[in-house]
Amino acid sequence: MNAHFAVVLDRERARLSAVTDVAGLVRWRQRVVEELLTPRSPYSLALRHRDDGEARAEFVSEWQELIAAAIARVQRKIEAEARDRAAGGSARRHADDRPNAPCPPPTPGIDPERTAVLILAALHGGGALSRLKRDPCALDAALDLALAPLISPRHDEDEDAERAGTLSSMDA
Amino acid sequence: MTTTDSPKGRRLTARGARTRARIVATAADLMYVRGIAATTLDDVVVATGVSKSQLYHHFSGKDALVRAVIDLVGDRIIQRERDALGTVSTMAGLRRWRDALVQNNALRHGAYGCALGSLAAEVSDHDEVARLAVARLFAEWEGLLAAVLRRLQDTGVLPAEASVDQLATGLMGALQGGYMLAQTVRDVAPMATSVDMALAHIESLSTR
Repeated sequence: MNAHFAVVLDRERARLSAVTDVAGLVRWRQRVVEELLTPRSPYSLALRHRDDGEARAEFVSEWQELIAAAIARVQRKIEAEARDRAAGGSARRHADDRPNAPCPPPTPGIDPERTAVLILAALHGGGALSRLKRDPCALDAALDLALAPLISPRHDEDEDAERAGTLSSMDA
Repeated sequence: MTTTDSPKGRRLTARGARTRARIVATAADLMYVRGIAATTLDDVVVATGVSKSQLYHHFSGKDALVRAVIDLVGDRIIQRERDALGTVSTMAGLRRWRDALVQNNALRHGAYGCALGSLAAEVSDHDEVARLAVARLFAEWEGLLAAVLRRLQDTGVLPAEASVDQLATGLMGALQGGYMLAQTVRDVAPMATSVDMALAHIESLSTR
């Protein structure tokens, strides 16, 4: 497998396995955006399309599974928190933290596999458009749209401060 | 918009113009299938059936030819998108636009991707003039999408506070990424999924 693919998958395995809630997802997003906006990073190089058929298909499929698993964890957390709120918060449960706990039902409208496809598309397409325009806004807009069902506007505002820094790095 | 060289500043005869157009159309086809980097001027000479001196009569070199290809592909795509999006003012209309793009890409199992997106990927780091030309074309395409979303806003389908320009840019990212994923797996399915998911989010804004 292409060396950049292996580096990206190693980092993504570590980073995505740490994503269990919305705050974790926001942190993952910030890091992946930084990687993609850095012109010669392994992420930037891995996502530029070349004719490397099978290896690229495996790379994309494995990354997609990692993202889908992280989305499913975040979704279960959101569900558990919603149930806690519904129960008045008096009997806080942490079902999703126990390894053998039954999975809560999925959040309506969120399909982890399909969401993972959209997130990967946003990383590829948004990244390519940001590189073309020398402007991080395209990648941000694509990820905002892809993550909207999971990330509330409040979290987006938290990121605004981070964004100013990435703008200047695109001019390099 | 004109980014093509007219190397010797001469006016073309009708026959010269036809030859030039044939060279550009052939180069556009080759570059779409093989990529810019893998397409040589010799390939274009052979595929067009012109002499090398004829090609150099019209183009000072490969960069000039690539810029002419960008103009041609850009005109085709912007015209196609104007026809497809120009009067769309409903979510159903936006879905028909999606259906047409997915259907067309499915004909080749997604093998070659978006003609304009492929050019973007190849010129981004190589030719500043070409990069700016492709960036302008994408801005125009996103403008057509934003105009549809604005019409949805005007009819009350989308709320007034929805940021249509950002949504249009996000939708373009989903579309282009979808093309790239389809190209990778030689299957149009991930393109269909990513555009569907993006449109579903846009539609969900109307019910909030």
